[in-house]
Amino acid sequence: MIYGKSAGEYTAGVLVKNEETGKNIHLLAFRIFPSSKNHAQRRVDENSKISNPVSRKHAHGAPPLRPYPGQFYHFLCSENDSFERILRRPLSALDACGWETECTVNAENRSGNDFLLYFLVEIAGVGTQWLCSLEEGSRVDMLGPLGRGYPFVSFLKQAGCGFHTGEVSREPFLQEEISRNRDQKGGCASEGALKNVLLVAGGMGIVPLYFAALELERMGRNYTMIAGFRSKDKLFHGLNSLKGDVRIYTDDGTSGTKGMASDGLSAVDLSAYSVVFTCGPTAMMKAAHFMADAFGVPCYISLTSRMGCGIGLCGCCVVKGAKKNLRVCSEGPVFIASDFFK
Amino acid sequence: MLASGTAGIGLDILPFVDLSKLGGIILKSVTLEPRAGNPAPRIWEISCGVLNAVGLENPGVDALVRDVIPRLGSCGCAVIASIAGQTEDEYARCAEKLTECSAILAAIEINVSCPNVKRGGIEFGSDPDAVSSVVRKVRAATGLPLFTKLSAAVSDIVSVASAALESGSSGLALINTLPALAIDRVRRKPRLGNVTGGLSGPAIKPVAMRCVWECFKATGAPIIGGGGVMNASDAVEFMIAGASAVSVGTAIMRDARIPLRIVEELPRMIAETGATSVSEIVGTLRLDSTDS
Repeated sequence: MIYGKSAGEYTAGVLVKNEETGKNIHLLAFRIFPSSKNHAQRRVDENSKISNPVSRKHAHGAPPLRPYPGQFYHFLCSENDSFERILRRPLSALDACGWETECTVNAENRSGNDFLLYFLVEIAGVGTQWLCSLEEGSRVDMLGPLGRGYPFVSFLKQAGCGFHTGEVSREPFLQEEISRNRDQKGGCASEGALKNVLLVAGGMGIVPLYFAALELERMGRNYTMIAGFRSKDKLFHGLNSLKGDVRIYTDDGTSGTKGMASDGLSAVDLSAYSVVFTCGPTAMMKAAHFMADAFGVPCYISLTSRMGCGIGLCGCCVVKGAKKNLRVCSEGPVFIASDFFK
Repeated sequence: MLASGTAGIGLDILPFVDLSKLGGIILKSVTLEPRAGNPAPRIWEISCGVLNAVGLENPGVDALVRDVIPRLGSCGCAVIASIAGQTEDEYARCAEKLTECSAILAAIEINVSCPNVKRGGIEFGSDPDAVSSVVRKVRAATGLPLFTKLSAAVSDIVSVASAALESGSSGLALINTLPALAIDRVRRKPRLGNVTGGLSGPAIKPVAMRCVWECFKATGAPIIGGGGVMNASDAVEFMIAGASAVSVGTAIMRDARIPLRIVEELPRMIAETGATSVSEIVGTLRLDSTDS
């Protein structure tokens, strides 16, 4: 299996589930198809003199690219020939099944060899409103998986990138990933570094970290999840089925402990963890970064930004990092915290 | 052609677009020194259009010459570099450095119309004398064909176009984004970090088309026309107005497959006009009163 970074593929997803799981929050599941159905992309791959090896290898009836936690899909949120809502909307993947892993979210919806992708979407404007009002059976144009996710090296290792043999990959993004992981103190250069992971989520930041929790369960790793929500009606019910140590906080105390995710953070012994993954409000991620840093534990954050192309071209989603500008779509959305926080 | 800006600096687009099927790629504008660009947010969507204020973030002309252009030598389409600057000399020095790549480059676009930088950009592009002076310096610095990219936000685009052409520009690139503002009503704040931005997309197509037509009529110069091109029909309309090449920008953000789709549908769209080739329709807007 090959897991791409930014060179995702265009695919048509068929909406198979649209369930309102919280106030203005929808769980969407899409069935996607093997890449052989993706004619336009295949044509590009076959004819391009300098095409990307990741997408080319997948062009001939192979499974669609599988996302790993932290990666996103760029959704067209209007009819194909409409000029309304010109831009796509980036949505982080909540889960993927139909590859070698079984479905965790609502497995009953799956039949045969379907590839299913799950998303949790909060209605935030006209685009997400359109998406969440679609009926089951609707076809949606999606581009993905895109971006760099949390350092699940196992996914990269399976791509035959020579993580353990020291072989230098031909893929520049993997070289970056390798050096990035090596450089990191107590880094994640091997699966072993994911032995006990602290996940810190705030609000919709739960999405990539729920996916990460599922992935860690599949790998047989330990984790603690600290998840903060404004209120019970914003809570994601899928958290109930997680097998790890899950600690829920709500601002108003309507579910779990009254307080914020950062309160949960103060209550854990960071030295017990090998790495911290966080996603949510900037202040929360910053707190996680500084606490982790004090214990020499690496911390990864996921950023969001108003996005244009989603594939590293237009420069619209760029945010100011600690040392240089960061393209959220293609260099992230997951970054080592110290790349962003000073 | 892929318009300057949304095609990036040239390499990231390769997995998504087969350049050998297209007429050309206009790289993102470079400046003499690297630029960090504007603060986030840099993009805001409106009905039928997009506002952006990237602010000419780029790695600088040296990096382009060293790391990017040599890798585009085999891409199979015309490669056009785009230059911007705060002074005439910066434009000229960029052009001079790019001339090292004249084996690969088909032309240079002179961007005198960026609405999102404090100095240079549109400041030059709104004054025929300033445009003339920039183009003359660039002309002296390079032997490559030059296309001057103009703004529609001027009182008389024909006089700016004429000034560019008389000073040595081989053709025109029309149009850059239009200066615009979007407001968050509740917070009473601008939607963009730079306050104002450049409007692009189908919303500006009629403005762009008018500019192409006026400039073609007055000068007959080669024009790369663009502004809100989303499909092959749009492309043919620009050609009728006077564009001999058409650029696609905002559409790339929606779907990078659109340029190839346009190329594939172009013959049918041209055939519907009764013509058989692009050259037969360029600048053929009919003003007679007959219906057929």
